[in-house]
Amino acid sequence: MSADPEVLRRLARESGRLLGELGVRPEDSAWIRQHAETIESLTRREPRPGLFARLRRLLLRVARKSR
Amino acid sequence: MKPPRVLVAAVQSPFSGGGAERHVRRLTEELVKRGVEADLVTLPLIERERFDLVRSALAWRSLDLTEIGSRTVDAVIATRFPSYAVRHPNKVVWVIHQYRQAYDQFGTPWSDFTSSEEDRRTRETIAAIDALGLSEARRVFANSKTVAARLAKHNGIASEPLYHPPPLVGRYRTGPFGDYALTVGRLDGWKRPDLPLRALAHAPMARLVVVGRGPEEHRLQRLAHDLGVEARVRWIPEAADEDLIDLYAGARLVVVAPQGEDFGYVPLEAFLSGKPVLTTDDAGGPLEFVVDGQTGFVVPPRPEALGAALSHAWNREDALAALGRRGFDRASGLSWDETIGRLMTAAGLSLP
Repeated sequence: MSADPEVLRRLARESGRLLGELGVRPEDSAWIRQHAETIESLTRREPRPGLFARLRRLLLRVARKSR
Repeated sequence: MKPPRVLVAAVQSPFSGGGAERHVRRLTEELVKRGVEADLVTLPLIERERFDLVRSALAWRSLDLTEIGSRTVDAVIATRFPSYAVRHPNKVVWVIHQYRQAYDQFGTPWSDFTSSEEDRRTRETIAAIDALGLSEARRVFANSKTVAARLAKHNGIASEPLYHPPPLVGRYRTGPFGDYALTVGRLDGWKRPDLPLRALAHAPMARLVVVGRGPEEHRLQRLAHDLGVEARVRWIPEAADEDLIDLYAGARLVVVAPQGEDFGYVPLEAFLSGKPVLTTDDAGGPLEFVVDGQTGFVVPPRPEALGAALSHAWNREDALAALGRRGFDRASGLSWDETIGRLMTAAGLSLP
């Protein structure tokens, strides 16, 4: 069983917003990459091509908005 | 009427429970004793890489503790960084620790933060986390004036000092003055455990009992050997509560030598055992209790100054007893009743 993509997107949106609240900025690209990897790791048993890049872009978008 | 429900939020250091862990357990117990439905919520603070600090804050921020088990949680009392990032509409923060490596310890040997871009951003983010978590609290307390002053200086946040009694309050006892000075605490560099040892070299009649363990243990034993004082030092890596009470009760005086301590139980434990404290003028929290000539001795942080104070005090039992009595009076004024009362009032709650 693997995580629902919509659940992962919601997790990325919410946690991205919280990271922004905590002071993380879009230019903290290494941290955003690490966080995207953490979320992606929930699907490790069934990797999905392109998911990591999509999560990273989503996190960057959310972090930009929550500045 | 249902008892108020309160959660204590605290950071856990797995495998190395120290004073802070013990403190939050006791706080929770004291709330329960007074009829509050209280429980402790902990998460570990991982420090493998810089982002772990942000991750840990994110973990706390992801928790909304407003309601648990279909019942409202009336208040959260958060304590150490980054537990106060937790979300709750009625949050009271009692700051036990900030992340000092990012603040007052930055640029000292006790902080591994460098001037790298990532370290600069980590320090900025820690300050942002502190600003967020503390500014949304209903009230901010600090565990000492020293910690309150740091919060004002580094974060521009006003807080009220709120003291509490040491862990074994009610069990300490006084006893005859023995033939040793006592030092208690983790053997970490920033606690300057070498200072009492070096002082011995300037106080030939004094003996020292060192209670504690830590990364400096072996270096200190070598130092004692090199200083030629090893025959006058007794090492006790771990002491059970009853043994520690006995050690305090039988000491001649207690030496407290850290730099910039947040609060420090040791002076209070010494006072409740009727013993004066020898400390340094840069000790931080201990100076809120140890007053030179009243409850102990305060000297510059130099081995010869501590040694001279030890020599001066060693054979003056009457003077030591008078200082110890005043220390006892000072420490006896601290009670959990008052501490819990102030926390509950700050949260807008009454004890049942």
